[in-house]
Amino acid sequence: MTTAIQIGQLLQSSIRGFSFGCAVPKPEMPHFGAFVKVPILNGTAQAIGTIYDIVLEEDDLVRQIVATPETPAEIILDQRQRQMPIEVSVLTLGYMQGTTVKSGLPPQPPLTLDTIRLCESTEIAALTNDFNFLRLIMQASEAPTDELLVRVLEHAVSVQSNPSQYLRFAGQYLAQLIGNDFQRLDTILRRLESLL
Amino acid sequence: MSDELDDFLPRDADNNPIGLETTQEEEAARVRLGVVVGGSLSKGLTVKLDSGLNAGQTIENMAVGRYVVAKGLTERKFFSIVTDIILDNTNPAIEQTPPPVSSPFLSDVYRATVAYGRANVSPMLVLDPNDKEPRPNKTIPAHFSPVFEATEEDVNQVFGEEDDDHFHIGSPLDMEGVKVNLDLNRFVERSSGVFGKSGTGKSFITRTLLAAVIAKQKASCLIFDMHSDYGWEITNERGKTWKGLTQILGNNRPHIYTLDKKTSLARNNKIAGELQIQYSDIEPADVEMLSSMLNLSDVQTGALYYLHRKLGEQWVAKLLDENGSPEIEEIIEEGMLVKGTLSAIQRKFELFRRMDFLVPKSSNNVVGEIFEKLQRGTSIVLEFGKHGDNLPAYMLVANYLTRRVHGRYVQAKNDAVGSKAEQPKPLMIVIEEAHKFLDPEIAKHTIFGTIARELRKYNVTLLVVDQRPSGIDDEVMSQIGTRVTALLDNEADIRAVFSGVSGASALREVLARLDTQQQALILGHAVPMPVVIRTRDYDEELYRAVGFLNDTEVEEKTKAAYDDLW
Ligand SMILES: Nc1ncnc2c1ncn2[C@@H]1O[C@H](COP(=O)(O)OP(=O)(O)OP(=O)(O)O)[C@@H](O)[C@H]1O
Ligand SMILES: [Mg+2]
Repeated sequence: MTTAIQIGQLLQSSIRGFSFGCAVPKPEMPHFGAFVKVPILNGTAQAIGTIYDIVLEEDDLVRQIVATPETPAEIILDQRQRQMPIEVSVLTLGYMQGTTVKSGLPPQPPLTLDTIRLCESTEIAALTNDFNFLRLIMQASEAPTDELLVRVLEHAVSVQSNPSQYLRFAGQYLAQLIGNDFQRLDTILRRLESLL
Repeated sequence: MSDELDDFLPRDADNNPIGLETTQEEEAARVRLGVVVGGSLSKGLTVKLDSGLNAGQTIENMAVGRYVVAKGLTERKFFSIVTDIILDNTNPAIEQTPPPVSSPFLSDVYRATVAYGRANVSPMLVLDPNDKEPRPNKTIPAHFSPVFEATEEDVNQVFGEEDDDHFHIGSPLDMEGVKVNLDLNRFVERSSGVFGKSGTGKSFITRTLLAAVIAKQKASCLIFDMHSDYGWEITNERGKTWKGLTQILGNNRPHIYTLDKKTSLARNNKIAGELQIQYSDIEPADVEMLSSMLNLSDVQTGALYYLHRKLGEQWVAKLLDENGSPEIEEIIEEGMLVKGTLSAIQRKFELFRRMDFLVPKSSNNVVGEIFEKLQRGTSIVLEFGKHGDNLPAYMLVANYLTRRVHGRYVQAKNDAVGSKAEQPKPLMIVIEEAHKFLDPEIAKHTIFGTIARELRKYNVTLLVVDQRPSGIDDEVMSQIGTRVTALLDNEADIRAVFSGVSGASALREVLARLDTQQQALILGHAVPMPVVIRTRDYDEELYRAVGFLNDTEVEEKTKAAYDDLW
């Protein structure tokens, strides 16, 4: 687990989620909908969540550069190499103690400056084997839930041995959850179908 | 990964999926169909069907008329029958935007969730673990009671064991191994009916019922056998043959009388006698029942009584006499009857000429003989032979004989009340085309209506066989205790069969969907609950069940009896 890719450090946290900072994003990470983990309870456990937002803050220097007509290429390159942290928001979906993974919210939030890592596929599989995480996503008011849901399932499906069956059951779970909003359900399901 | 959605459902502390029953060993063997979600005692239960492994398969595997068991919280099993199957949804929007056919994914998801199957089931009986016998149910299972397919064991518990009082008449659909047994004592206790369209197996069912009643000596039967369906060899249109009651019932075999000796003998029947009716024995009441068939007006019907009084017992002979008679001249001269009325009656009586069993003079007393035999417990089959297609002849004879036999029963019963004599043996009279005898116009004042209405007062009941039960008088119908009904497709007939049966309207769907042959719905007095059966094959095995022995066996038996003697 320690070999897992480090992607940032905790800026701020609560039971329901946290945000972390990292350097300018590289194409392979961090990704919207990716699963990440961070130590909690003195390192005896890990909270697991999914990335639902990635924000690059503006600053005065950027404003000035933008104001200059025709920005020279080397300025842009300089700018990219500056230590300018970007802020990544995570929705907590579960936590693990040892090898047992539980869906739902953890007993304590992670502490600032703790290290954020990407989850291993076994961890993703363990967490998403139970569809509780779909409910937490659907209930998150701060996140673009429907979009996030599709992306998260895309990740979850990629670690399943029978993806089509998995998606079908996920779809059934969603239908039970939001069956009364048929329009929304139908749109999401059609997106899920395209993942197959 | 597991195959079941259940595995993805939230779990309780014992790792059981929340919202589903713990699977106990006994239940593991059962096929779960769904859960009770609503309903009432009077209208039946609503069961939400499980989607099944293959979403939607439970719906297609369901069948109207099938038995299911709802397992209540109190360990009681509510034995029920499926009466309707419905496609429903939790959100009607899906009816406006059904998933495209090209998308099995969407269909699969919806079929297991938003769109679902529902079944209406009628609870019939309660099987209490502390009771041996099933009891009529006075309540319904609680919300969310799981519903399972009934096992053979459940069904056996309901229909009891086969014994001398309970005769195996068929099996529930899809349950070849289970016997539905008819309570014979209750069957003969009240009048009964066998209904169904032409060719659905009425005669075969009736023959099976009669074989049972006669073999177990529950009643003497007087069978008016219109189409030679009961006594001797029966051949169907494809040339297949079956044995008649007289051939299979051993010592209890019915005696065959005939109205058409030539045909009966040509069929190689063993005949006990020939029924001939003297003109002088015919009374106006015997003819009255034919009034609608003969198209007799009320005036003409009334005139029959007058003519009988005036002309004496030879009235029919005199009316048929082509040379006329002085008395008839006199009636007209006196102006008691207009000539038109009289000649209309005479014209209509012409019909009697073709009935060659009507004779001016006959020496035997067959009616007395038949009554004696019935009293001794011997059943009688009266074959009509060539007169079978002559409905007026059939009705005249049935009415004639029944009136007289019934009269003697009334006498015998009254004697028994004064304890001068034994109770008369129960008698069951079998008539076909029963609506002709029991139509509301005439049921009030004919013998068959009387028998149906007076219940068992004189130990006489009817077994009516009919393809048009809607033609039978409502009041008579309400007295028919056990109704065996093969396929009927006329709405009025279906309604008639269910008249006076509480809660059975749900069974209509079942009835209208029976196979065209050898399937029947039985309801009423002689079964613990309405039941759809595939009727028992009328075959060698049945012959044996009612006492049939083949030639070698008969020989052995005779020899043994002979040996015993010495
Ligand atoms: N229990 C049975 N065992 C064997 N064959 C049967 C049985 N019931 C019905 N059949 C078959 O169905 C055919 C029709 O049955 P049946 O003659 O009893 O009909 P029905 O209702 O009396 O007709 P109808 O109204 O013309 O008198 C029979 O000839 C026989 O081939
Ligand atoms: Mg018939």
